[in-house]
Amino acid sequence: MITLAHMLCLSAILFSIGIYGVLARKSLIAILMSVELMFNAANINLVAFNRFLYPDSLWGQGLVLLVITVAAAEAVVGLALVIAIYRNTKNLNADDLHLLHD
Amino acid sequence: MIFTFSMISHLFLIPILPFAAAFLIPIFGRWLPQRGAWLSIAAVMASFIIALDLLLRVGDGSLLLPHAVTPVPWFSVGLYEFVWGFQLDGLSLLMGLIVTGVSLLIQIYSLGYMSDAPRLKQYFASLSLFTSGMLLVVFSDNYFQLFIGWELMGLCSYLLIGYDWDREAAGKAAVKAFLTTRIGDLGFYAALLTIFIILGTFNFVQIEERLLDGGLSSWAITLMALLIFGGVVGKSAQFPLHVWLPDAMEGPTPVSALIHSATMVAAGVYLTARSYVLFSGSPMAMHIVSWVGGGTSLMAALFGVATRDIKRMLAFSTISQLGLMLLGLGVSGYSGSVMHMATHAAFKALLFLAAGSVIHAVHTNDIWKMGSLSKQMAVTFTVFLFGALALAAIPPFAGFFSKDKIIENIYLAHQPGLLALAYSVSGLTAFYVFRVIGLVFLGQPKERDRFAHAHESPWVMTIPMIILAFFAVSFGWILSRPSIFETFFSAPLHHAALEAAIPAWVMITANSVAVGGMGLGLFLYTGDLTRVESLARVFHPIHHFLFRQAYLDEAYELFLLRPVRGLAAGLDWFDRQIIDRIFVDGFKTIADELLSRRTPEEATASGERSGRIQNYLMIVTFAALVLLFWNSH
Repeated sequence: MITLAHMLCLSAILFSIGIYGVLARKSLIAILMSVELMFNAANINLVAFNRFLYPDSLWGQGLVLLVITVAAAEAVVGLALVIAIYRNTKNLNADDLHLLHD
Repeated sequence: MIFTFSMISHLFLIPILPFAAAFLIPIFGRWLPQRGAWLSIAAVMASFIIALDLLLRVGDGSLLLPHAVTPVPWFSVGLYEFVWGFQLDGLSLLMGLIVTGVSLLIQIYSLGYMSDAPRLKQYFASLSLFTSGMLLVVFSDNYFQLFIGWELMGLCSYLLIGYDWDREAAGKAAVKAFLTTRIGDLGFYAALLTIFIILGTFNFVQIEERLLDGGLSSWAITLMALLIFGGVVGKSAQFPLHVWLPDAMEGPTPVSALIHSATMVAAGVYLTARSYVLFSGSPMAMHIVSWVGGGTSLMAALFGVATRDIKRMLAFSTISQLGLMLLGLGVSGYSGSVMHMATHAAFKALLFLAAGSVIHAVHTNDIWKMGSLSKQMAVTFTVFLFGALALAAIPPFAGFFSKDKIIENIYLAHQPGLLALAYSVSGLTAFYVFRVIGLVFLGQPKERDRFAHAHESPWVMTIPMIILAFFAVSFGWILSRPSIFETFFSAPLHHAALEAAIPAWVMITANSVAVGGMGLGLFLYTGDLTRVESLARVFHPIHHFLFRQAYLDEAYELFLLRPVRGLAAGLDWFDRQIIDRIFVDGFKTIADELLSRRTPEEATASGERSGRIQNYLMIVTFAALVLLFWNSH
């Protein structure tokens, strides 16, 4: 039997993996992917709460659809930035990209 | 038939059409002829025609007053539903006609007067927005909606006074007008809250029913009435908040004619008339209204005698006449005051337009630089003369009928002090307006080149003046026809005292005082001016005192503005020296000390300032976690 707690644990694990990825991975692509993981952790929360607490309504699912749309748009912008950075520097290592610093 | 029957719902359209024009002009004005001026004129003309249609249908009996349109729900707070509601009764129909009619004429006049002015789109958009604000005030069926229109007018007044913002005086006058009326509006706003707390509704009809049922403490009624009167004092430029109106003459003359004489400043009197049942429930409030009105009236009339500026003379006269209207309302003279509001709108708009025509011709406001202009500007002179006769309340001109009614009511209220006040105002009014006629239109030209340069204005300016002159002559007679009088001026409350007979001397005194003032003004200021100059030398302290408007501006500067500026300077010092220097910079100093004052290069070398975004994110995440756990315990 799957309960709300199971879903929340899954979400928390996904979110933690996402945070780890953002903080520890050096490739910009990997960082973007980790951000997507965190989005989806939040989405699971929304859907799970809706399913277990208000099974008759669909507000959570609706909101998730909105989040997915916005995340897609955001990914487009993020990837475009990554491509622009790569064209300029031939490098996607986050540690080497500190132009704003000195 | 069905079409005309549905016209009543067009009551909504009267304020909405100019409102729409106000937003269409800035957007589409650049492609329209005259920068969208005609759009503004067309909108207000449509409103005027709708109002006229309503009048005709009231006249033939197919529309019964008072009439309320089914309100449109807006939003709810608790159990109370706020609505957009419009009502039509004698007062609002009369004011609606006057506002749309005067606004129409003045906008046409503006085509000539403002022909070479910059920013025409802004000018006509503001005029349209102002007209819609005033119409919203006039046709509202509740205080809340009225307040929206009231503030809309305040905004437009600011925009239009400051129309020539590249002149410093205009900008300052706009700010002064806005802030001064805001003080009064604070009272009105408090009145809204008080009314809602005590009566639980904003609707005029419901409030009147509650008041007539009785059961309210007299203190509550007095409080509500006096708070509303605060707003009236600000908007209608009564003592002590009158100081903004003379300065508002910095705006273009048609604006002064529309806003600062005929309509907006009359909104205060309109509000008092609208709240008449509330005011008459409190003898103390009525007493204060009548004395503030009467006192202001005399004070402004005295200032009007001393001023050198033709527009300021008219501004003081406006303050004075508004005071007289409030005085009339304060002594239960509802009909006389409302009628005076109507006739005043016609003849004062006329006087301002004629003054604008003079200023347009001689390029100065100073009456001591004009003279003998009746030769060059016959039309302007004739209409100004009619306006002046109406203002001086000489029979049978418009002002006579209404001012006479006010004076009768003061007599019936058994207030000899107020009666004496009204008589002296009558005499002074006739004196100062004919002083201006003597100096501007008659006598000898004082500056040859200005005189030679003067010419009559174009027809777009003279025709509106001629139409208004027709009303300055006949409006009083028209309005005092019994059937018309019944429609427009039947008071919400019936006063038995007002039926009493009035001895003939009341009216005879008023008229002889007015004729005397007129004769004296003409006698002193047409022929040899050395007499006046020697008189001015003899009474120099008094003259100077009045010329400087009793030093009230200086007193406000000294006792109100300086302390406020001092407080502001103190707070500024506190902000810079205590908050910024000690707290903000202090913490930075502490942080610097903790990092032992390293230069950026040293910080980079030691790794505290890596420039690597992930290092910073790590710290942020860690801090967020700390806060999360701290919060959950």
